[in-house]
Amino acid sequence: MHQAYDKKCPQCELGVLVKRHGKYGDFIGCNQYPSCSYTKKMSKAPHSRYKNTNEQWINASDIGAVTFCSQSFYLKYNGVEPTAQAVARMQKGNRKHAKVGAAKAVSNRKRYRRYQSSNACYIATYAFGEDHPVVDGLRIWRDDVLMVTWYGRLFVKCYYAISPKIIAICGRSNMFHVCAKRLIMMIASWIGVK
Amino acid sequence: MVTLALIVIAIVFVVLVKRGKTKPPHEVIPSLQDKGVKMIYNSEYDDRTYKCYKHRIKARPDFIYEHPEKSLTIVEYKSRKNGIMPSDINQLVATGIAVKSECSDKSVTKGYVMTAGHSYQSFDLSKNIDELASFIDRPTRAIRNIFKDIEPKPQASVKKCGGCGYRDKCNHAYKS
Repeated sequence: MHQAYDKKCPQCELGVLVKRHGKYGDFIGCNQYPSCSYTKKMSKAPHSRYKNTNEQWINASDIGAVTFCSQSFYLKYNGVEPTAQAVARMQKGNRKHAKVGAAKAVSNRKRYRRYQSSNACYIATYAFGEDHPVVDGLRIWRDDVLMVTWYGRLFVKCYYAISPKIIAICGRSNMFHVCAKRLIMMIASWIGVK
Repeated sequence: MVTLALIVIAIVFVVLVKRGKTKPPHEVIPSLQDKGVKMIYNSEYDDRTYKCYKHRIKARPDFIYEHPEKSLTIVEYKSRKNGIMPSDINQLVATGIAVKSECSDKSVTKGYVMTAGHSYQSFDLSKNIDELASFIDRPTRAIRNIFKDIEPKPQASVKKCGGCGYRDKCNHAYKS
C-alpha cells in the first residue's frame, strides 16, 4: 500500500499522487500508472528526527522513578504531595549527596571550571532563546550534518569563535535582533528545520 | 578504670566517625584511582545540565571523570546504604545519553552506580546513543504517556510500596 497525498495528479487529473519507491529512492507518482506516468521528486521535507522538537523534556531521574514505580511518578506529576516521612528521607538523601560532592571537590574546583558550559552567546540562541524548536533543530543539524565533515567542523568552529564577538558589538541593537531572527529563519527553512 | 572507659569511648567514636564517612567515587572505585583520572564535573558545584536534543532527555550527573585517553566515566551516586536497582541503571543510561550527545568529541565508555555503603556496579555506555535509547525505551514511553495524562498500569508490590512516599494516596498500593 502506497502512502497517499491529498493531491490530484496534475497530468491526468483522475489519479491521486502517492509515494512510490524506485531504484533511485522514493518519489511521488500517480496511482493510475501505467496509464499515467507522472512523477515528481520528493521535496526535502523535514526529517522525522525534527518532529520531536516540541516534546517535553524528560529528566534522567524521572526515568529512574518511572522504572521503580510508574504509579508514584503519575501521582507526583499530578501534584500529589509525598508523605512527611518521604520528604524527610529525601532531604537526608540530598544532604548525603552534598557531603559526598563536597569531599575533595573543593581542591578540584579550579581544575574543572574550564570544562563547564561557556556563557558565550551564539547568534541563534540570542535571536530565539535557548529552548526554541528552531534552535533545537539547528543543534541536531549541526551534530548530524556539519560535525560529520571536516569543513562542517571548521564552519562550526569559526561560527563559535565569531558569533559571541558579533553579539557583544551589535547585541543591543533591535535592528540586529530582527535581522538575525529573519536570517536564521531563512537558513532553518532552507535546511528543513521547522 | 577511667582510662579504660576513655579508651573504649575513643574507639567507639573513631569507629562511628569512620563508618559515617562518605567517600567520593574516586576513593572507592579502583578504575578511577588510576593516574591521570580527573574529576571534570561535580553536581555540587556545576550547574550545567546535559541535554540530548534528539531524544529530549536532560540530566545532571553526579560526577564525571575524564581518563587520560579522553574517555569519560559517569558516576551516579545513591544515598541509600546498599542495593542497586534496575531503576538506577536506567537513570545512568539516560544520563549517559545526555552526556554523550553533548560531549561528542569525547567517548563516554563506562558508567557506575555507587551507593553510600560504597557498593558499586558498572555499566557499559560505549554503545551509540540510539542503542542506549532503545534500552530505556519502555520507561521513556511510560513518561510520555503520563505527560499525555494516560494513567499507567498499577504495579503494586510489597518491596516497592513499602518505601514509597505516595503509598497513602495511591489506590493501587500494596496493603496487607
